[in-house]
Amino acid sequence: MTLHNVHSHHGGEEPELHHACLDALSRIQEFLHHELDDTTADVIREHLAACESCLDIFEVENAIAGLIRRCNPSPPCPGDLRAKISSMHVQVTHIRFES
Amino acid sequence: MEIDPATESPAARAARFERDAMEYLDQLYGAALRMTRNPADAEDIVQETYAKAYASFEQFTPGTNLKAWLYRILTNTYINSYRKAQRQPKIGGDGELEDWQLASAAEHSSTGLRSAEVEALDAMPDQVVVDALNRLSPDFREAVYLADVDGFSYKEIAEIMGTPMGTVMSRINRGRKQLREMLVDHAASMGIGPAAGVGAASVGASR
Repeated sequence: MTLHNVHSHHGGEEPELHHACLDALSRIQEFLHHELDDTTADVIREHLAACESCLDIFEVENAIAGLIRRCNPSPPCPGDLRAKISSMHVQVTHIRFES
Repeated sequence: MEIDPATESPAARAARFERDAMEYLDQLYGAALRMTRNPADAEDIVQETYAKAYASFEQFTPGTNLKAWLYRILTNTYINSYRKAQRQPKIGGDGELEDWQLASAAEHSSTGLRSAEVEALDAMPDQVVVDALNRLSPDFREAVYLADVDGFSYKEIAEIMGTPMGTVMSRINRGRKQLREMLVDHAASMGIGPAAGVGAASVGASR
């Protein structure tokens, strides 16, 4: 998020808000992924509650996170691969006993 | 139950491996499939991963993060397999955006989408999202998947990918940014969002 974006974000007004926006937006992924400690996360939460533009962006990022999860269910491992791997360490164990 | 790998019998270890490590087989296969993009190669590296994991299972500390340990072996196996075969583009093209992505990035003066656009995202077909994810550079895509699909912490991702945490955060941020821009472009080409019309005309999206 560039400074230019933040200015157009708020029509060029309220510099204190720009810093808060920059802070919040620069940490939006960490916030989404629950990587932030409670205190820092609360600061961002407060800002999102106060800043509609940043909240919009958060909602987009949150929607995209949901999309990524929705579109990537894990296909199950093919049955014959599973069988191969299951029998593999049995064989290795067997060899170890013999040596 | 206290497990001491030093005194555990081979049979007990095999049973423990069967019980604990096999649980992640489906997820590891899924991860292998997205790395290799083809089932045959995915099978090969999953098999090799489990062979290596079993061979070094004695060194794995019981009770610690087995899933991340297995993913780490999988990632290394994959990297080493294509170093040998040289079939894949190089890992670590972190700085390289394709021209069309740079062009679309230049068009974005604001990422401020509103709720209509959130609805458009929710309605986006799976294939569009999957295609967009596949266009990300491999390191960005893998970091995003590990965070958003597999639910690993940044610290765990750093261990799996063998990079500092700062690199993980950079890959996630840049991957998610590229992904957002591609999805916004798609919404725009469907006539939704502030970039609609303007974006489509300047980027020359086909209609």
